[in-house]
Amino acid sequence: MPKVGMSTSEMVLQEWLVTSGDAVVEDQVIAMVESEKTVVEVEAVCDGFIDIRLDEGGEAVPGELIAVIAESAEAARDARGTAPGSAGSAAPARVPATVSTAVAAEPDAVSKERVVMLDGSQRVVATPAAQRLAEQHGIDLSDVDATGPKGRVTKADVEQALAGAAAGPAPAPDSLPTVDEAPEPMSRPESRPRPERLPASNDPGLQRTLHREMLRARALDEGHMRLIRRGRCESMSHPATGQEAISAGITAALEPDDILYPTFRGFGDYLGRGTDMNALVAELMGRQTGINRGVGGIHLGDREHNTHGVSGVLGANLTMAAGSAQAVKMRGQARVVMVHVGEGAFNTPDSHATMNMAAIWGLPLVIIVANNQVVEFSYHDVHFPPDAEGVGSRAGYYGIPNECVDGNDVELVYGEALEAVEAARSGNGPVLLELVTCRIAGHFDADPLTYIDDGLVEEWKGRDPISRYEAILIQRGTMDAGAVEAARAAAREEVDTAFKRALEDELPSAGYVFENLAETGVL
Amino acid sequence: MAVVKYMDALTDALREEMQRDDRVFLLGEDIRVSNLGITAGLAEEFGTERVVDTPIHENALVGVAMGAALEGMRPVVEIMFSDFALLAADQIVNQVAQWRYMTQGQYEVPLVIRMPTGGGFAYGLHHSQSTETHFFQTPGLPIAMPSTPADAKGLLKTAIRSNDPVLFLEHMLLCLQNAESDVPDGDHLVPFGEAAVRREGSDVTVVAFGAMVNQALIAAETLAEQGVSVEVVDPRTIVPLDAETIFASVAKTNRLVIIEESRIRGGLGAELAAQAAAGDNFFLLDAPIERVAAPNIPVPSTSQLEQAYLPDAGKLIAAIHRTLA
Repeated sequence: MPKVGMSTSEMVLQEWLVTSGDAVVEDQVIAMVESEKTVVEVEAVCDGFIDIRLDEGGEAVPGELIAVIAESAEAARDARGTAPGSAGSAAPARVPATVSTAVAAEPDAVSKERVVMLDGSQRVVATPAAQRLAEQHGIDLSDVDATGPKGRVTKADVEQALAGAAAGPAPAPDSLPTVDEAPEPMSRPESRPRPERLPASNDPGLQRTLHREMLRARALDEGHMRLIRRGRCESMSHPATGQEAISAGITAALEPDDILYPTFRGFGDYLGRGTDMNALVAELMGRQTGINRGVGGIHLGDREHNTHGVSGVLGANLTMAAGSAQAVKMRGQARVVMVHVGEGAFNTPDSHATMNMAAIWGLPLVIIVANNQVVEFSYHDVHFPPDAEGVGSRAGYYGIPNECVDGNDVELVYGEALEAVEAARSGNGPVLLELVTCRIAGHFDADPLTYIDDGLVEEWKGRDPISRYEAILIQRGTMDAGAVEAARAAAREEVDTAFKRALEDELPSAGYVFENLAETGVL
Repeated sequence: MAVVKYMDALTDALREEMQRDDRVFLLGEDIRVSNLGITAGLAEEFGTERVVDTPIHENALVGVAMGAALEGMRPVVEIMFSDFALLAADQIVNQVAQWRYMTQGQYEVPLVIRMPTGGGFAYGLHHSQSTETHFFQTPGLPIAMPSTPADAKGLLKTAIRSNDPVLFLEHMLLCLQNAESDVPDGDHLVPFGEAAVRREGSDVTVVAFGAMVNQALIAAETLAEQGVSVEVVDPRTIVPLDAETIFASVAKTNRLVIIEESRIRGGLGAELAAQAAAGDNFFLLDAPIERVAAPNIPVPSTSQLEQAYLPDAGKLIAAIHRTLA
């Protein structure tokens, strides 16, 4: 049974769209399940033949087995799996709706009574002392014979294993703060030439870039949500569906050495800055190959691309952006700092402190407010007075120039952002740009978006920034319909490849929680 | 070696580090005028670009310092009273302390948050608390609490040179009582995580930090006249904590008393008592552990009441007697 949001309660299998023995293909919708809040589709995780284990109307909790897919109908029928609802189910907690062909293979005669995930992976259960000892000596717990209760590896088991092995590395000493031994002189102004920029309408290369970045952002949100629905991905998705013109437009307006504090919504800000798709996806999948080694999750930072990261506390990035702008100004650099928030985060008090200080100190700061008309699980009218026109005009009190434009017109977003960036760069102080859009997806992956009018969603689907731009590109002759389709396929392919790679990458070992601490400043 | 006042030692540390490294700058509320005087005069010396007065908004000014630190500056923020650090708890706990871990070492956050702290002036509920305990559980946040002018200077200089954030608590009593003592000449640095044995003794170990060190020394002096030999250990930084020196002392005395100005629930005393009860340390004790700390009540405003609230040498002496009974 897939995980739907944060709910762990029973869900009802409303309808099977296939029957036992049917061949299914990866991503095919095979069933509809209903939670308290919503109905979701269950997709096949791989190609194969299905054997249904939970009847329509039956209940199961997320993670419980509802069907098996294997390479033949017989194998699916015979595959080991526990009937739903049976007490003390051995079905592992995290199996998705279906299991891969790997299930079909009986786990090898398990003398150690390991918990075997039905996707074939093993989870070793060990006592904390055993884990620590194993970690200290670089012992892989799966190589240790377990004698403890319920197959648990004990410290004595690890000691037994050590007796036969060479001594491992000594444990790390208690960490102390690292100290800056000698100050570097503060870097001085750079006179790096800035490239000449054409208006987007005169620059076919830029047009293709804007199009591609919107597609990549959307494909990544879609791919991320697909893996979440299958129970293969733990990190949450906060999709930017319908808002992709903003990340594409604003990142295109920045130079590589400019600084961005991105939004948490969608990953278009990172992609537009050049963050590697594979490293980004691996992070979402909690892999060690991820950009933050599976530790940061959706709280991503990418120093190499001057994309300083996003706090899970929305709004906390605003003052940080002011601080980075202050550093840039003190150093006399010709760089700009941009911070991208939604109108909900902009409604936190730190936005006022940020505008105030940026105005007092004349900081090179661009504040982007993506006004998408919804704030988490409610419509605007909960958060803003009825007669308020936009939110960016608040900058007026602080004497900060501000504009409010259509956030679904990617060339307009780019043009306005570029103007804002250049104004900030020229030393005239901060600028605010409000971009009006609409989030046509839920706050997160399993939010059915019940709190806004269907009519509004339909209206804004009609203003979809991607298809709208594609019509323009085709009309102008920048791209033909074939090239547009090829670009869409390329974006999907890039995302699919990244998720497939990440699935093959190792998850961090539990022992990693105690590693790399001194290097990351943890005392 | 020169005799220096605690507050001047702090100012000297700031001045020397600002001279040494032009990435070091100060920001805080009214630090040019300076409430206690610690930063007074530095704006004249280094300019208002490096001694920045900010609007009143603690969370914002720590956030600004954080953003500057991410860009390679080395800001030193002043929170006017440690009580106000709770207004900046989001930035301190969620952002400053965790960013380096979150990004797996991509970023360092070389940021010092200085804050005058503690009671004794009848300033009342919101200008008298010892708030280190609120932050004690935060991973990634060293906490320094100097008890002498030499440590005030040496720990602050180390904090500024640290590539990680530091919460630095300066006791107002030590600032304003003009406590003075020897400070080594030259570039005096005190490492973090190294306790100082302030007085050697053999009968009981007293762990004290910040302004409580003086109370412990007064108690030790009084008890010496009664034939009781007290060892006073000052951890100097409570994160990282030099448990090794503390328990080496307990191994000698077999008795442990902890005194702290913070409230008793969940403080350093509770942590050390737990460590003393665990593992091999458990077998060091010959008597129950005693904790001397403020009670779990707000700080009352009238000095009559505040003095009853605050731990002091008298309460410590009573506790030491209990461990010896």
